[in-house]
Amino acid sequence: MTTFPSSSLVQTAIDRRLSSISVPLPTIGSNGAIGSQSHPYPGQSPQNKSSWTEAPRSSAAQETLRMEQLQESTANLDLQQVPSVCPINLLQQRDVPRVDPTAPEPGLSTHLRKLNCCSDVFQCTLVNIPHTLALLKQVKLPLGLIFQPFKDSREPPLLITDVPPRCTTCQTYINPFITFIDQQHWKCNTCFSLNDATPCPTAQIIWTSYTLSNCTNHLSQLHPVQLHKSSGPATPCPTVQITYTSYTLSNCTNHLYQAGRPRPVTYLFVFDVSYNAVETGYLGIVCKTLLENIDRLPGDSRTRIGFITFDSTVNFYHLHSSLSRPRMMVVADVDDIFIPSEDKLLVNLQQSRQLVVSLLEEFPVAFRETQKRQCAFGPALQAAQKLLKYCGGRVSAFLTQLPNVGCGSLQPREDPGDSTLGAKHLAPAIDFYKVLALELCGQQTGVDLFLLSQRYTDLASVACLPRYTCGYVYYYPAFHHIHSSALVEKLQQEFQHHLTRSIGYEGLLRIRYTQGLMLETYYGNSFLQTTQMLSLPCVCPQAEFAFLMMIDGAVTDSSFVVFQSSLLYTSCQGERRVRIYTYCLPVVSSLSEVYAGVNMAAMMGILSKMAVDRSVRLCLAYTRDELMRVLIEALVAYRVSTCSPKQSAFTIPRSLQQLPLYVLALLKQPAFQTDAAMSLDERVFTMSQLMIQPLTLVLRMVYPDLYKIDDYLNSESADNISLERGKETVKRPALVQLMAENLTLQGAFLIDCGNVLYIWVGRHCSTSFLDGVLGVTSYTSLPGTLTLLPILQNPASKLIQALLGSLRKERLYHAPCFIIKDDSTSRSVFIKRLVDDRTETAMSYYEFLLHLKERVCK
Amino acid sequence: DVSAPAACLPRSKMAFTFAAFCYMLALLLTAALIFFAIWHIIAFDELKTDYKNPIDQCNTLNPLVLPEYLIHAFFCVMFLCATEWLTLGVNMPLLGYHIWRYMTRPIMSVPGLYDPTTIMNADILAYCQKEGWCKLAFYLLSFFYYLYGMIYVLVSS
Repeated sequence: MTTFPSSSLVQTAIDRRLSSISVPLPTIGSNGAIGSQSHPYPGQSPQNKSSWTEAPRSSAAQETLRMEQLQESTANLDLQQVPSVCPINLLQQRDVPRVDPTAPEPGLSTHLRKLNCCSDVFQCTLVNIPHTLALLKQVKLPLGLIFQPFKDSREPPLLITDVPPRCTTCQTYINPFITFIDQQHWKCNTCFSLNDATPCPTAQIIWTSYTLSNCTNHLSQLHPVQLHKSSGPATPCPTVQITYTSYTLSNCTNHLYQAGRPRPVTYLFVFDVSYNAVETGYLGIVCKTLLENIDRLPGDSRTRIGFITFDSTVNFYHLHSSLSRPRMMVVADVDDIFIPSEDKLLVNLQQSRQLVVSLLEEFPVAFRETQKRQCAFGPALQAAQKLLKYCGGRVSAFLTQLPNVGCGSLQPREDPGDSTLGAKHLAPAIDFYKVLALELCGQQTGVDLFLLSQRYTDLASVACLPRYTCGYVYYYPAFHHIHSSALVEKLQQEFQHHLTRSIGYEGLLRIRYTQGLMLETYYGNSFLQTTQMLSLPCVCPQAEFAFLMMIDGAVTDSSFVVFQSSLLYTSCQGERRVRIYTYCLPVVSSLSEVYAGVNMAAMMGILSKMAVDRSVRLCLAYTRDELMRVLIEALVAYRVSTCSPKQSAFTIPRSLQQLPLYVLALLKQPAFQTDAAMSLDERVFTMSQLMIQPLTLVLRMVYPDLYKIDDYLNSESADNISLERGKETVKRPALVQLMAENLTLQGAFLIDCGNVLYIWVGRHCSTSFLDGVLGVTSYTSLPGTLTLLPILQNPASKLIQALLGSLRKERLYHAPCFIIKDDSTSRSVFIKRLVDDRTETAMSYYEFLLHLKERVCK
Repeated sequence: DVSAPAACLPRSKMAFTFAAFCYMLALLLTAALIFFAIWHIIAFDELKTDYKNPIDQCNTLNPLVLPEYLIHAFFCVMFLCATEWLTLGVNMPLLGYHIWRYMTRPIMSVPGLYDPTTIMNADILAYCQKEGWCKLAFYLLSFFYYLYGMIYVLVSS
């Protein structure tokens, strides 16, 4: 068990390490933390350059000799001295900078780069696409695309009302990367067919003789008369949002439009009211949150709402405005659910508001004395499906125990003795929920699942419902309304976010790409209708999808590859819209350019999704072997391409330097460890989080961010005034490498693990921190584990709250904050997040590098 | 001589044995199996070119799987009863493959092999297409083999 060394021991440990490595480590006494920058790393930071060119303790001659050797070995790669491809000896560089979440710049001309879609919408693992399959195979890295089609990106998209020109063959929308052949024809860049640039009579587009590379992609250049601009001056942004003002346009294909007005938004809440549910006490909290936010539900005056509750029977509620109070109707025959009088069950929210409010106030009270312990979840969802058959909408379902009545009942299959975890435990047990989800998807209904159970609930089977309908699972293990205050706060925050976030309904996403590429595998939370089309009943801004791609043939016909995502959806106000993003990447033919364009963040995202997919389909042991195999093959491929087998140094290009660290972090994830003390439900939930969460959060889950916050408080005290005025951006503290030797007894550290935050308080932490932020007078009076950070009225506390607020902003899942003392029993929870260190079952980062070197350099 | 051909006739009499009957039946049923294999190939090609919805396509393909396997199992039983060991030996690997394929199918409540949520993955789609082509080749070859076998059994008695 790792005991925490005192600072003098740490110093000697550092000295010992220094003798074996010639590059000095920054000691704890020095001012910045390792790899200190106050914002995410740009591609080339001065810190990087200094870490391996600064004067070492050994002689400078040795260093230059080493550099010469490295340069010799890379001569075969024909480097153009691009800093991101410079080889690094990982064993000599101890501090690995964090992955920059923004992608490296693709090698396009500056003009095209300005026109290109912002990289927070599209991320590709290789920003410079290889031009043949042989080149891609030489690199042995996965080629993948991760994108968020509904993201609220920084620049508001341009709103136009006319249909822009589309290619007649492949229906791609016009984008700035097409080429004009002459004044009359343009060539589509996805299918390479020629189209006429003739005026389109119904849309009244007036073509000029501009090429799109001359104009700033602002479509007003094409049709100056018919444009309806909603946002300010034209920003060159290849994002186009089209609003169709009339709903029966006859010139376009029928599948884009509906005959009448789009359907109104419908919300259906399905509550579990069995004895177990009442024990947890969630109903009171949920009803209160719903009451508070009932006017903030997205929608217009036609919004509808309905309620279903279930225990051993399924109960419906008449809420028609003609009634004086809500009426409950019980359907006891769960084997053959029928819906009594649908029009009274789904009511207009504004007309029946009084009844809805009184029903929500009654719910927690009405079921207080229930003794029913059965759960008819399957029949309740069948009822929901029948109810929403013709109108679609969103279902929010709450479940607190294993369904055991009617269709869809599940058996407990958790077996703690079985360590071969694989498809038997992690894949669905029955296909009832999958079939139901596909039916719901077909009728444009999305399901979000809230699981608040203390025992095993077979999340693997039940999560099929949100998984194929673009919904989310919210999991609260061992929820109790009194005993688990952190989870109560989490439920409130997440339910509120779930109710009030903006959504698009009846969504259909089509992704088009240049010929020569092929979408191989899909990872994401929706149903793939064709190889290019996804059906998204309810899409929210955090929805992210990923594709693994393969080069099918050669991409040599053009020098660019274009991806276009067009999302057709109904907004909450009932308008049918299409949101289009176009992303362009260059095609390269040399190996060094491919290595220069590696996007490490996207690479890690794709690798974690591949790992989750393999675990669920095959088994965990296979996944771990696969991850190691991918890493070793990538390193060996680089070594082969540098073509110097006698070189014994273990070199890696700078653009791939985080790869071993992140693969080690992924292997250390509890979800991928067969001996981790994790319940099956938790494991399935963590895997689904790795699969569907946005990329920045996945990176934090895998390799958390560690900040030293007591120094931060001292240095930031001058900025307190600006923070109190609610400034948008809070300056983040310096990032620290995840090693136990970076934890000082005098300090306090905050670790951001994506879905949970921990504050670790050292034994000799300063009293100003204890007093100001935690509200205690001394270290000993701090309880072992605090679950809520107190909100105090002093600048330090406000600063920390602002920091936490900025970290938690825009996250799908609320991250509770726990405070852990250095000598408390839950210390291991914090310590095991320090990925660089050695644990009983896994290697430290340095040992891992040595192990890799053995495998690669043999 | 008129008597000579008459004398030859009993020797070259076509004996309609049980084996011949088996081969004849196998011939007819192999035509059905060839039809199934072609249907599979066309169906996967339609999926690949985005012509059809995977849910509809799986609902069409899944009911055909068990009949195909049962017909083939029926052949094997028939040839076992007819003591045609060579033909049985040729069909055994395919029988084993069918059993393995059905054992490792995804969790489904209806009989069948194809799950609409996973079938659109390129590796599964490619595997199913290859399987379709291989089976078509096998059934065509076995059609001609049964034809030959039937004539051989009919002629040699």
